[in-house]
Amino acid sequence: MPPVRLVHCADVHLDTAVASRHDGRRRRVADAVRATFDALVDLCLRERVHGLLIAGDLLDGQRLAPGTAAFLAARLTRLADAGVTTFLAAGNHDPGPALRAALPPGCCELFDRAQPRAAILRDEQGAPLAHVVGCGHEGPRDTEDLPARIADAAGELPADGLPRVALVHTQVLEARGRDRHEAYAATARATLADAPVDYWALGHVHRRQVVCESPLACYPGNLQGRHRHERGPKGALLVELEGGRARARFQTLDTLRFETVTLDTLAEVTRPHDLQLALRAALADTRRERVVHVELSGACPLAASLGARDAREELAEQMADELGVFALDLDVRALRAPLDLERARDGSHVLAHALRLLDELRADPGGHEHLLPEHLASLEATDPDARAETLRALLEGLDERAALRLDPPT
Amino acid sequence: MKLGRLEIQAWGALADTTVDLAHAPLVVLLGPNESGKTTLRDVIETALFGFSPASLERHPFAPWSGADLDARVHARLSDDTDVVVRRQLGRTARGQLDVRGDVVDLRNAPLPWTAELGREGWRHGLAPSAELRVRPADDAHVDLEAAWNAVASGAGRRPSRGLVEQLESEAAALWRPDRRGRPRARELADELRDLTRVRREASRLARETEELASSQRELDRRVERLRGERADLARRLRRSATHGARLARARKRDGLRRQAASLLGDVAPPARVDRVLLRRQRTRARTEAALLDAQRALARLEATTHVASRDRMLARHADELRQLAARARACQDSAETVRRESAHAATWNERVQRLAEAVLAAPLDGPLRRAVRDLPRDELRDALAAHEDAVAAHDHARRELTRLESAACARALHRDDDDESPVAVDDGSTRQRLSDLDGLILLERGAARQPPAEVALILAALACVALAASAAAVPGWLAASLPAVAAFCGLCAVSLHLWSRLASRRVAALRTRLELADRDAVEARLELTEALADTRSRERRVEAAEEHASALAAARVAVDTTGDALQRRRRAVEHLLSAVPLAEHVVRGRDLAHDLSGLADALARLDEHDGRARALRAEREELAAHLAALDLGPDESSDDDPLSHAERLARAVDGACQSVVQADALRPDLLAAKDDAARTRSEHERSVRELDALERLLASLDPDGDLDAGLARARKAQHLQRRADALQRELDEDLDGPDLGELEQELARDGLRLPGTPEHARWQQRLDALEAELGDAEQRRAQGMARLGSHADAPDLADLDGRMAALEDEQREVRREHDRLRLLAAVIREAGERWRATTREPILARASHWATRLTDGRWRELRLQETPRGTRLLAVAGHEDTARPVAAPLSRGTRTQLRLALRLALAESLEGEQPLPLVLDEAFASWDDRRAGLGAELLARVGRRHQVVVLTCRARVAERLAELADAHVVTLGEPP
Repeated sequence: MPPVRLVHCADVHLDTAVASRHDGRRRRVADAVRATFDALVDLCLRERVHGLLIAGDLLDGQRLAPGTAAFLAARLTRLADAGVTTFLAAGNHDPGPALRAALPPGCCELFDRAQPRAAILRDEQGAPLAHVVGCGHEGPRDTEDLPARIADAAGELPADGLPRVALVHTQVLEARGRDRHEAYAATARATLADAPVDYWALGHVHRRQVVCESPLACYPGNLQGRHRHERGPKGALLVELEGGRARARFQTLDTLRFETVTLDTLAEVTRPHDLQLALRAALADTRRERVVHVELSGACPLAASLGARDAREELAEQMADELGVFALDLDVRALRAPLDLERARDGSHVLAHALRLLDELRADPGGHEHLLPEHLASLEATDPDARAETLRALLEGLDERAALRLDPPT
Repeated sequence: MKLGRLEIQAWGALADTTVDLAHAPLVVLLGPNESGKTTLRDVIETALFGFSPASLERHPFAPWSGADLDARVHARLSDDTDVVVRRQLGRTARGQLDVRGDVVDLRNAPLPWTAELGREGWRHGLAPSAELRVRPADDAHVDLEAAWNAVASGAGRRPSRGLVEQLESEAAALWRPDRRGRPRARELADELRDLTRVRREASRLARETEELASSQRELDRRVERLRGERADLARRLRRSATHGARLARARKRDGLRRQAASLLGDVAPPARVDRVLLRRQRTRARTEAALLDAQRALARLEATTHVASRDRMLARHADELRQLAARARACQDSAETVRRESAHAATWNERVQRLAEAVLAAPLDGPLRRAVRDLPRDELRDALAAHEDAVAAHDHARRELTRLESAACARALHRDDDDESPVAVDDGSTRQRLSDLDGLILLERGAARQPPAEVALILAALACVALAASAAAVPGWLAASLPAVAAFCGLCAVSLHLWSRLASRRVAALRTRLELADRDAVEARLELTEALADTRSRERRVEAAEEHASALAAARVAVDTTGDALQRRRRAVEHLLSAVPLAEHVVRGRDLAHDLSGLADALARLDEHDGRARALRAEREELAAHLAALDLGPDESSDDDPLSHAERLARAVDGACQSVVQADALRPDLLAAKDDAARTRSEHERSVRELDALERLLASLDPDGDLDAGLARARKAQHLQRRADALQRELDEDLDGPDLGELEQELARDGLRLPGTPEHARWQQRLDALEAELGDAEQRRAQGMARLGSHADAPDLADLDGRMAALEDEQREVRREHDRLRLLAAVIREAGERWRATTREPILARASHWATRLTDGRWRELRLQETPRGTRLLAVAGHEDTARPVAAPLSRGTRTQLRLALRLALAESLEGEQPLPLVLDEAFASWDDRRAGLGAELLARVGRRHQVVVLTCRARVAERLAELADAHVVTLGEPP
């Protein structure tokens, strides 16, 4: 029996809201999501796979723009015309009712209910190839252990020798990067391991990873990065099921890549040009269109000049042009001026008093309430612990700023 | 650290200049304005702390020569180590520190021993510039904190108070708790509110779009369903109709089959195929027969249309000409009769005249002779001459009539040969000849009005004279013969009178006939005119007929497209050709009729001649008898006596007899010709009958006599042809048609409903309703699509969400930045307070000490007072406790001294690893000599740790310092 070939993707997030004040960047990211979905369709057709598994969050919201609906319908129809069956599970971003309303009927096998359902994947001649068991979120905050339900449903499938694929949008509690996502439909790795399933097609966590080796359970990561936290190559998994074993191979599909570059040796960087040279050296591959998030840390003579937002953005734009990347962000939160704060702290001048006072505030925010200004915009919490936490966050980096303010570099 | 030699390559206006400070504790740089004192101060600062700014273009002391800034400074550290510092500024800043041969690359970094103080501290505390010294505006205020920070360790700093205000201002520009101003947070909030409004509208549009799309999808499904239902219903209806037709044919077939079976009785019915083939052959035969009939009808129609029209025209012409010829012959006959009678009368007149002349010429005397002699001879001659003229005119008229008749015959023949109307060709000449004929008839009429009545009267008079003479004196034999003569004359007179009366009646009858001929001629002329008009109208009809014929030809071309067109055409031509002999028969019959008429006339004339000859012969005999009875003897005076006249008459009679004999000889031929003519007449009549039959057939085919109807017939023939073809095809199809049972089973199985059934009608109604419903749905769908299209430009919700998220992020960042600025301001404010609480008093005590020394006890204490505008410097005089602001009206010198005291205290409190030089610019400008001396002593004392460099343009200050404190005075030259 030839291997069953599938493409597994998740978290496409069509019509995602890109938080940026730059129209071009918002538009580019939205276009990238669509273009990558096109690349996914091309991959399915090129690899002549039998089915496409979309493990939830195909849409970013419960309402789909008319143009996106037409786009999606056209792609799904193209797949169906080519004999590729699309299996789609509803996620927390696109729960069942939203999907039912947004998708044209009959374009795919939709798992939009929390109750698992089994479908049969067939080849072009109609011969059964595999069982696909899936279920979906019925609301945006489903907390039920959906994989456990799927495991039960998979156990009831006939023993016909066909491989069994589970499709669900869930958070495995042991997965890496889970802290960035809400624990919807969460499950344990053991649940996956004990299920009579040959392959778990998971979605929800945007970091690509293998959650369980046997049976193989994978997060393909989201299809296309949308911001700096979704950095690195993105795409889908090409899955082959043969002889009760599953193999997954990652296929890069992203059309716009988010990358993070950390520059922490900047003591000698006295000019923006030096910073650009350092960044060029750090960017190994400049061929792919990318959005680079540059984290600057450590002491740098440019810290004071990069502290101003407008100047920083202007420099970032200029560097992006010269480096040939689509966009570039300079993160200077960890950057500090080349100051010896410890030595200053030991003096008897105002800065020393200020630095010591900041230490006192951090140590005991509640004990210095009298020092706090009357009206702080972000200090709205009345809970002492929350206020202390907020205050500590506000005090972060103020030593540097106090030193820079009291002794601005010439 | 004490400075030694300053080697300046290029610095401001200075070039290749060396100034040696000689490591002296107190150095006075004396020079006029623009001699370079401030430039040297900048060289010292740069040697200590590096270039600021580190750009040649922006450096205030960029060499005037355009060269790089370049200077070398020699110094000695507190441990007597000599060092050399070189500073250069070109494209980049370079610096080197040479410590006993060890060269350290400084680039633009400060010297290692200055880190404790920093540039700003040195500037504010140890080398205050003139600008710094005059701050603040109210010189009672001094920012001790600023001064402290300036000289404080490593990060000497801005005045915290000003910084706090600046931080507060920056924070207020970001966010304010109240609604004053327009901070950034409010701008963002406004923008966010606008976006929220736009998003709300966009969301509403999106919901509407979604609903529209949903309803569109529903409409799509409905339209699809309706279309499917309509297509299914239409298909069922179509199938039902087709099935109904097939079923009807099948039933008809079945009925025929049953009829055949009933006709055949017990005979086993032939195979179905044979029956069908048989019926097919019959149908084909019927069809072909119908087609053949149609073709024949068409051909006949064409032929008879042509021949009949030609024959009708020729027949009418022949009739007209016959009538004309008959009338002309009547006229001729009348004229001939008149001529003959006139000739006869003239003969008798001549004969009577000769007789009268013979009587007159006779040797008679007496009253008879006189009476004869007295006869009006001239009048008689005139009458005779007029009579002869009339006869001549009559002859001319007769010839003209003959010619007219021959011309008419020729025209008739010509008309037969050519369809072109001769009337139209020779119309004018015919009219002229008719007019001539009228004139001749009038002449003849005038001649007919001259009867020989006068001659009879003369003869009667002569008879009377003879009677009278006999009664008078006449000889005996004459007297005896006179009664006979008289009787003879009287007899002649009576006979002449009778003849004259007879002639008069004949003349009257002739006149009547002439009048009739006249009327006939007028009528003939009118008829001829009508015939002319009729001919023209016929010509027009012929043209119309030709047009119809062309249309017929077009129709025939259409007919020719069918398979048998050529054959039908050939048959039509054959029919046309067969019609030609018929037409020739008609023409020949007409010619024969004409010839027959001529022969009949000739025979009549011959008979008439014969009769006339017999009459003349009888008259001759009678006259001969009369002459014999008279026996008058020849008349000598006359050249033509009655005997010779009688002889001539006899010869004429003989000639006439010979003519009769010749005519008799011709009679067999004439009779043969008559027989031939009779045969021809019978043929002609047969032809006429056939023509009539054709005309009746034509009338039956073309009752209106219009060629359009013929064309319609032709079209009908085409229709018949097509119908026959369709029947043929249907017949062919019928061969393979399903059986009736099969059709009925199919009808039941497929649930079809035959047309005409109520169910079929309901289906049709449902189809109509579906059409209406589908139209309505499609219209609504089009409207929905238009509304959806209008929503195409609606803002993208995701894009709006992204913008709003970015705005919210920025808003959060702004608020956080505001809070951090406010926190920093609060921290710095509190730090300032703490510094003031811990550091102020010791410095003030040391400053008070220095103030007492500088003012020689005049001012013993310095205090600080915090005011909203800053820190106020107060001084307490030695003899009182009142603290006075160090400001005007306090003297300028005192104010400078008190501030110097404060600065020196700061310097002492902040001196680091290597005490850096103090640079005082015009420090003693307003000092009196005593206080200047005290100041010099103080500077000399301070100079033990800190090298003091005094910049002055006043030589006296230099002298005093040199005198009192052993200052090393360096005199600078004139401005370069």
